[in-house]
Amino acid sequence: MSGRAGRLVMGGWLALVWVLLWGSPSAANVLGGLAVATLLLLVLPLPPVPSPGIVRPGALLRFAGFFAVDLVRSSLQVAVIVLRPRLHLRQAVVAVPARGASDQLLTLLANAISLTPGTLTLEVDRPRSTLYVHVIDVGEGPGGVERVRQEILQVERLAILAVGSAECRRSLASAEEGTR
Amino acid sequence: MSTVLDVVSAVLLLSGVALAVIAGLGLVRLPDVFSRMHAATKPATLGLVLVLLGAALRVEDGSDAATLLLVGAFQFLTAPVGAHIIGRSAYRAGAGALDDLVVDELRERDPS
Repeated sequence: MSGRAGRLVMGGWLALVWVLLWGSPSAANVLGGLAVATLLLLVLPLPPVPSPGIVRPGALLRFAGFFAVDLVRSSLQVAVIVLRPRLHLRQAVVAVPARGASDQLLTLLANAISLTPGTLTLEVDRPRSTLYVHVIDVGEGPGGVERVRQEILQVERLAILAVGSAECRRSLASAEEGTR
Repeated sequence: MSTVLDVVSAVLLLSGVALAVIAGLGLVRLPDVFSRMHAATKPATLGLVLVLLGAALRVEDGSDAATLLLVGAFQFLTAPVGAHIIGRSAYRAGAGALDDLVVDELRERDPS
């Protein structure tokens, strides 16, 4: 997507948000939205996004479904922790390699991780493509850290299948080949 | 029909409110900034989504439902980003009980 096309899409989206916020698609709202969008893009231009990426609807739906279930699970988990009479948490910070991820994918992942059970993105190491994730409770005994890492890699796998580039999927496939 | 809608909507609203209360309790009870961020993101987000769904069932006007949808979308975009930035700043500033971490692979990367 060239810079100009990207700005057009962004402008259209901003105008749409404006109209939705006002709640009715009247001429005044649409024109006002376009005016505000133009002004915003002129005053606060965003850097162009390198590539639009690919979206696979089926895989994206699977990701969304998995994510929705995870959001419910994570909320219940936090609820259980908060309502327990005695708090005993074993917190940790875990490194998770993002396998050949683009900027968009890293962003999606970092956000998804913060809403999935027990994990919160703390730091993104972009050159090394690694996410550092805070875990609220790794549980007793060894293996907890590894279990969390595997769970995040599963979220990542679904994200790559949904919006990852072809190159990204290949590196995922070869990484999985390597672990077998 | 409208009774069923009322009941479903009430259940959604009340569960959403319960989650919001739990998120608030978490902010008070949890020991440090990192664990508090967990409470501020997950139950708060799901709670808001449930409240929005409950409200969407009861509004007459379709465009009001669209506004509610927008509110939900922005929560999904902003809550994790906010928690990420607060958590990151806290870690870098050495706030929170960093020494109590069972494992800290971020410190292993660049030991101070």
